[in-house]
Amino acid sequence: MSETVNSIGSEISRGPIQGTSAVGGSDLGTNNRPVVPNVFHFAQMTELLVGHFPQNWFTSGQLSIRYLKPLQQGEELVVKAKVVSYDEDNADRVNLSIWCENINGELLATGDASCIWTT
Amino acid sequence: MSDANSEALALIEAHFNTLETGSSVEFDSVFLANDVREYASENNINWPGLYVDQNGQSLVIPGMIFFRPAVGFGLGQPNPPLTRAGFFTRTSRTFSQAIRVNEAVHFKGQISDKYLRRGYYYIVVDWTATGVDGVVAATGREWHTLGWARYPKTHPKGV
Repeated sequence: MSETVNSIGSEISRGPIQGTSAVGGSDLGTNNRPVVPNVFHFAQMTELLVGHFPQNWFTSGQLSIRYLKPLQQGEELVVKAKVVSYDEDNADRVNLSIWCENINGELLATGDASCIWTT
Repeated sequence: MSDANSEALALIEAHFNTLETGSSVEFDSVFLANDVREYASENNINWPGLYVDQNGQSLVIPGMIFFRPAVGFGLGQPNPPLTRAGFFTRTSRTFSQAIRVNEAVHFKGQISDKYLRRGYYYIVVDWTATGVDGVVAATGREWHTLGWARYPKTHPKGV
Protein backbone atom coordinates (compact mmCIF):
# COMPACT_ATOMS: atom_id res chain seq x y z
CA MET A 1 0.00 0.00 0.00
CA SER A 2 1.39 3.37 -0.92
CA GLU A 3 1.13 6.53 1.13
CA THR A 4 -0.63 8.15 -1.84
CA VAL A 5 -3.71 5.95 -1.63
CA ASN A 6 -3.96 6.63 2.09
CA SER A 7 -3.35 10.35 1.98
CA ILE A 8 -5.87 12.43 3.88
CA GLY A 9 -8.85 13.21 1.69
CA SER A 10 -8.40 10.26 -0.66
CA GLU A 11 -11.57 8.30 -1.37
CA ILE A 12 -12.36 4.72 -2.27
CA SER A 13 -15.67 3.22 -3.31
CA ARG A 14 -17.39 0.02 -4.32
CA GLY A 15 -20.56 -0.57 -6.23
CA PRO A 16 -23.29 -0.28 -7.13
CA ILE A 17 -24.07 -3.75 -5.79
CA GLN A 18 -27.57 -5.14 -5.85
CA GLY A 19 -29.02 -6.39 -2.59
CA THR A 20 -30.78 -9.63 -3.38
CA SER A 21 -31.17 -11.32 -0.01
CA ALA A 22 -34.26 -10.42 1.93
CA VAL A 23 -36.05 -10.95 5.20
CA GLY A 24 -39.71 -10.49 5.87
CA GLY A 25 -40.45 -7.24 7.58
CA SER A 26 -43.38 -6.58 9.83
CA ASP A 27 -46.22 -4.49 8.52
CA LEU A 28 -45.28 -1.74 10.95
CA GLY A 29 -41.51 -1.91 10.65
CA THR A 30 -41.07 -2.02 6.91
CA ASN A 31 -44.52 -1.55 5.41
CA ASN A 32 -44.49 -5.26 4.63
CA ARG A 33 -41.84 -4.78 1.96
CA PRO A 34 -38.93 -7.20 1.97
CA VAL A 35 -35.71 -5.49 2.90
CA VAL A 36 -32.10 -6.56 2.72
CA PRO A 37 -30.65 -7.39 6.17
CA ASN A 38 -28.22 -4.80 7.50
CA VAL A 39 -25.47 -7.40 7.53
CA PHE A 40 -25.34 -6.81 3.78
CA HIS A 41 -24.14 -3.24 4.39
CA PHE A 42 -21.43 -4.48 6.73
CA ALA A 43 -20.37 -7.19 4.29
CA GLN A 44 -20.01 -4.69 1.47
CA MET A 45 -18.07 -2.26 3.65
CA THR A 46 -15.77 -5.11 4.65
CA GLU A 47 -15.26 -6.07 1.01
CA LEU A 48 -14.19 -2.51 0.23
CA LEU A 49 -11.82 -2.36 3.22
CA VAL A 50 -10.30 -5.80 2.66
CA GLY A 51 -9.66 -4.79 -0.93
CA HIS A 52 -7.91 -1.65 0.26
CA PHE A 53 -5.98 -2.99 3.25
CA PRO A 54 -5.67 -6.73 2.30
CA GLN A 55 -4.21 -8.85 5.10
CA ASN A 56 -3.93 -5.91 7.49
CA TRP A 57 -7.70 -5.73 7.77
CA PHE A 58 -7.87 -9.17 9.42
CA THR A 59 -5.33 -8.23 12.07
CA SER A 60 -5.96 -4.55 12.75
CA GLY A 61 -9.28 -3.53 11.18
CA GLN A 62 -11.85 -1.61 13.19
CA LEU A 63 -15.32 -0.77 11.92
CA SER A 64 -18.19 0.93 13.74
CA ILE A 65 -21.44 1.43 11.88
CA ARG A 66 -24.87 2.91 12.51
CA TYR A 67 -27.57 1.57 10.24
CA LEU A 68 -29.91 4.35 9.26
CA LYS A 69 -32.21 3.03 6.58
CA PRO A 70 -32.86 -0.41 5.10
CA LEU A 71 -32.03 -1.30 1.53
CA GLN A 72 -35.04 -2.58 -0.36
CA GLN A 73 -34.69 -5.96 -2.01
CA GLY A 74 -33.36 -5.47 -5.54
CA GLU A 75 -32.15 -1.96 -4.79
CA GLU A 76 -28.49 -1.11 -5.36
CA LEU A 77 -26.01 0.08 -2.77
CA VAL A 78 -22.75 2.00 -3.10
CA VAL A 79 -20.08 1.98 -0.38
CA LYS A 80 -17.74 4.95 -0.04
CA ALA A 81 -14.91 5.73 2.34
CA LYS A 82 -12.63 8.68 2.82
CA VAL A 83 -9.33 8.90 4.66
CA VAL A 84 -9.77 11.53 7.36
CA SER A 85 -6.67 11.30 9.55
CA TYR A 86 -3.75 9.30 10.77
CA ASP A 87 -3.98 7.97 14.28
CA GLU A 88 -2.47 10.32 16.84
CA ASP A 89 -0.75 7.50 18.68
CA ASN A 90 0.21 5.43 15.69
CA ALA A 91 0.89 7.10 12.36
CA ASP A 92 0.75 3.68 10.69
CA ARG A 93 -2.97 3.55 11.47
CA VAL A 94 -5.26 5.44 9.16
CA ASN A 95 -8.78 6.58 10.10
CA LEU A 96 -11.60 6.70 7.59
CA SER A 97 -15.19 7.77 7.49
CA ILE A 98 -17.30 5.21 5.68
CA TRP A 99 -20.86 5.17 4.48
CA CYS A 100 -23.40 3.43 2.25
CA GLU A 101 -25.83 5.12 -0.09
CA ASN A 102 -28.55 3.83 -2.35
CA ILE A 103 -28.49 4.87 -5.99
CA ASN A 104 -30.55 7.95 -5.14
CA GLY A 105 -27.80 9.13 -2.83
CA GLU A 106 -29.82 8.45 0.33
CA LEU A 107 -27.62 7.57 3.30
CA LEU A 108 -28.24 3.99 4.50
CA ALA A 109 -25.41 3.53 7.00
CA THR A 110 -22.55 5.58 8.30
CA GLY A 111 -19.56 5.00 10.50
CA ASP A 112 -15.84 5.00 11.12
CA ALA A 113 -13.13 2.58 10.16
CA SER A 114 -9.43 2.35 10.85
CA CYS A 115 -6.60 0.02 9.95
CA ILE A 116 -2.83 -0.27 9.91
CA TRP A 117 -1.90 0.65 6.36
CA THR A 118 1.82 -0.07 6.21
CA THR A 119 3.02 -3.44 4.97
CA MET B 1 -51.80 -3.79 14.95
CA SER B 2 -52.13 -6.93 12.85
CA ASP B 3 -52.64 -10.30 14.51
CA ALA B 4 -49.23 -11.44 13.26
CA ASN B 5 -47.55 -8.38 14.73
CA SER B 6 -49.37 -8.80 18.06
CA GLU B 7 -48.48 -12.48 18.20
CA ALA B 8 -44.85 -11.75 17.43
CA LEU B 9 -44.69 -8.95 19.97
CA ALA B 10 -46.05 -11.20 22.71
CA LEU B 11 -43.31 -13.74 22.01
CA ILE B 12 -40.64 -11.06 21.79
CA GLU B 13 -41.75 -9.39 25.01
CA ALA B 14 -41.74 -12.72 26.85
CA HIS B 15 -38.25 -13.46 25.55
CA PHE B 16 -37.02 -9.96 26.37
CA ASN B 17 -38.18 -10.39 29.96
CA THR B 18 -36.05 -13.52 30.33
CA LEU B 19 -32.87 -11.72 29.27
CA GLU B 20 -30.91 -10.11 32.08
CA THR B 21 -28.29 -7.43 31.74
CA GLY B 22 -24.96 -8.94 32.72
CA SER B 23 -25.94 -12.45 31.75
CA SER B 24 -23.57 -14.22 29.42
CA VAL B 25 -23.21 -17.19 27.16
CA GLU B 26 -20.14 -19.09 26.02
CA PHE B 27 -19.87 -21.68 23.30
CA ASP B 28 -17.58 -23.05 20.62
CA SER B 29 -18.34 -22.88 16.96
CA VAL B 30 -16.67 -23.83 13.71
CA PHE B 31 -17.23 -21.97 10.48
CA LEU B 32 -17.45 -24.54 7.73
CA ALA B 33 -16.74 -23.69 4.11
CA ASN B 34 -20.41 -24.15 3.26
CA ASP B 35 -21.43 -21.68 5.98
CA VAL B 36 -19.09 -19.03 4.63
CA ARG B 37 -20.06 -19.78 1.04
CA GLU B 38 -23.72 -19.34 1.91
CA TYR B 39 -23.09 -16.04 3.70
CA ALA B 40 -20.98 -14.86 0.75
CA SER B 41 -23.68 -15.78 -1.70
CA GLU B 42 -26.43 -14.04 0.29
CA ASN B 43 -24.34 -10.91 0.60
CA ASN B 44 -22.96 -10.73 -2.91
CA ILE B 45 -19.36 -11.32 -1.84
CA ASN B 46 -16.78 -13.09 -3.97
CA TRP B 47 -15.39 -15.76 -1.66
CA PRO B 48 -12.71 -16.85 -1.06
CA GLY B 49 -11.47 -14.06 -3.37
CA LEU B 50 -9.72 -11.62 -1.05
CA TYR B 51 -10.32 -13.79 1.99
CA VAL B 52 -7.22 -15.97 1.98
CA ASP B 53 -4.10 -15.84 4.11
CA GLN B 54 -0.49 -15.85 2.89
CA ASN B 55 -0.57 -19.65 2.75
CA GLY B 56 -3.67 -19.69 0.58
CA GLN B 57 -5.97 -20.86 3.37
CA SER B 58 -9.52 -19.59 3.16
CA LEU B 59 -10.57 -17.10 5.84
CA VAL B 60 -13.93 -16.48 7.42
CA ILE B 61 -15.49 -13.24 6.19
CA PRO B 62 -15.15 -10.88 9.16
CA GLY B 63 -18.72 -9.63 8.95
CA MET B 64 -20.19 -13.03 9.70
CA ILE B 65 -18.20 -13.71 12.85
CA PHE B 66 -20.70 -12.20 15.27
CA PHE B 67 -23.79 -12.63 13.14
CA ARG B 68 -24.79 -16.10 14.26
CA PRO B 69 -23.89 -15.55 17.93
CA ALA B 70 -26.00 -12.41 17.99
CA VAL B 71 -28.90 -14.33 16.56
CA GLY B 72 -28.41 -16.77 19.42
CA PHE B 73 -29.66 -14.16 21.83
CA GLY B 74 -32.65 -13.56 19.61
CA LEU B 75 -35.60 -15.78 19.17
CA GLY B 76 -34.28 -18.04 16.45
CA GLN B 77 -36.16 -21.08 15.25
CA PRO B 78 -38.73 -22.53 15.49
CA ASN B 79 -40.64 -19.36 16.28
CA PRO B 80 -42.78 -17.77 13.59
CA PRO B 81 -40.77 -15.86 10.99
CA LEU B 82 -41.83 -12.49 12.34
CA THR B 83 -40.25 -13.19 15.68
CA ARG B 84 -36.90 -14.42 14.48
CA ALA B 85 -33.83 -12.45 15.45
CA GLY B 86 -34.21 -8.81 14.63
CA PHE B 87 -32.11 -6.36 12.77
CA PHE B 88 -28.83 -4.78 13.71
CA THR B 89 -29.07 -1.06 14.34
CA ARG B 90 -25.45 -0.50 15.25
CA THR B 91 -22.26 -2.54 15.15
CA SER B 92 -18.74 -1.94 16.41
CA ARG B 93 -16.09 -4.56 15.70
CA THR B 94 -12.33 -4.85 16.08
CA PHE B 95 -10.37 -7.58 14.32
CA SER B 96 -6.99 -8.71 15.58
CA GLN B 97 -6.48 -12.14 14.10
CA ALA B 98 -7.88 -13.88 11.04
CA ILE B 99 -10.19 -16.84 11.57
CA ARG B 100 -9.64 -19.69 9.17
CA VAL B 101 -12.33 -21.92 7.79
CA ASN B 102 -12.79 -25.13 9.81
CA GLU B 103 -11.03 -23.68 12.89
CA ALA B 104 -12.82 -23.72 16.22
CA VAL B 105 -13.74 -20.34 17.67
CA HIS B 106 -14.72 -19.76 21.28
CA PHE B 107 -17.43 -17.13 21.70
CA LYS B 108 -18.33 -15.25 24.81
CA GLY B 109 -21.20 -12.81 24.79
CA GLN B 110 -22.57 -10.66 27.58
CA ILE B 111 -25.68 -8.52 27.53
CA SER B 112 -24.55 -5.03 28.45
CA ASP B 113 -27.92 -3.33 28.03
CA LYS B 114 -31.55 -3.96 27.12
CA TYR B 115 -34.33 -1.50 26.49
CA LEU B 116 -37.54 -0.67 24.69
CA ARG B 117 -37.19 2.25 22.31
CA ARG B 118 -39.62 3.55 19.70
CA GLY B 119 -41.62 0.38 19.92
CA TYR B 120 -38.75 -2.06 19.44
CA TYR B 121 -37.14 -4.29 22.05
CA TYR B 122 -33.35 -3.98 21.91
CA ILE B 123 -30.41 -5.76 23.43
CA VAL B 124 -26.76 -4.73 23.36
CA VAL B 125 -24.26 -7.57 23.48
CA ASP B 126 -20.49 -7.46 23.91
CA TRP B 127 -18.78 -10.32 22.11
CA THR B 128 -15.33 -11.82 22.16
CA ALA B 129 -14.17 -14.42 19.65
CA THR B 130 -11.07 -16.35 20.64
CA GLY B 131 -9.13 -18.52 18.22
CA VAL B 132 -7.73 -22.00 18.69
CA ASP B 133 -4.44 -20.59 19.96
CA GLY B 134 -6.19 -18.78 22.80
CA VAL B 135 -5.62 -15.38 21.23
CA VAL B 136 -8.55 -13.00 20.86
CA ALA B 137 -9.42 -12.80 17.18
CA ALA B 138 -12.19 -10.21 17.34
CA THR B 139 -14.28 -8.21 19.74
CA GLY B 140 -17.54 -6.54 19.03
CA ARG B 141 -20.52 -4.70 20.43
CA GLU B 142 -23.80 -5.36 18.67
CA TRP B 143 -27.02 -3.40 19.07
CA HIS B 144 -30.00 -5.26 17.69
CA THR B 145 -33.71 -5.61 18.01
CA LEU B 146 -35.47 -8.77 19.03
CA GLY B 147 -37.54 -9.55 15.99
CA TRP B 148 -39.10 -7.28 13.42
CA ALA B 149 -42.33 -6.65 15.21
CA ARG B 150 -42.82 -3.37 17.04
CA TYR B 151 -45.44 -1.37 18.86
CA PRO B 152 -47.12 1.24 16.69
CA LYS B 153 -46.32 4.88 17.31
CA THR B 154 -49.81 5.39 18.69
CA HIS B 155 -49.19 2.83 21.45
CA PRO B 156 -47.67 4.07 24.74
CA LYS B 157 -44.78 1.63 24.23
CA GLY B 158 -44.31 2.77 20.65
CA VAL B 159 -43.18 6.28 21.41
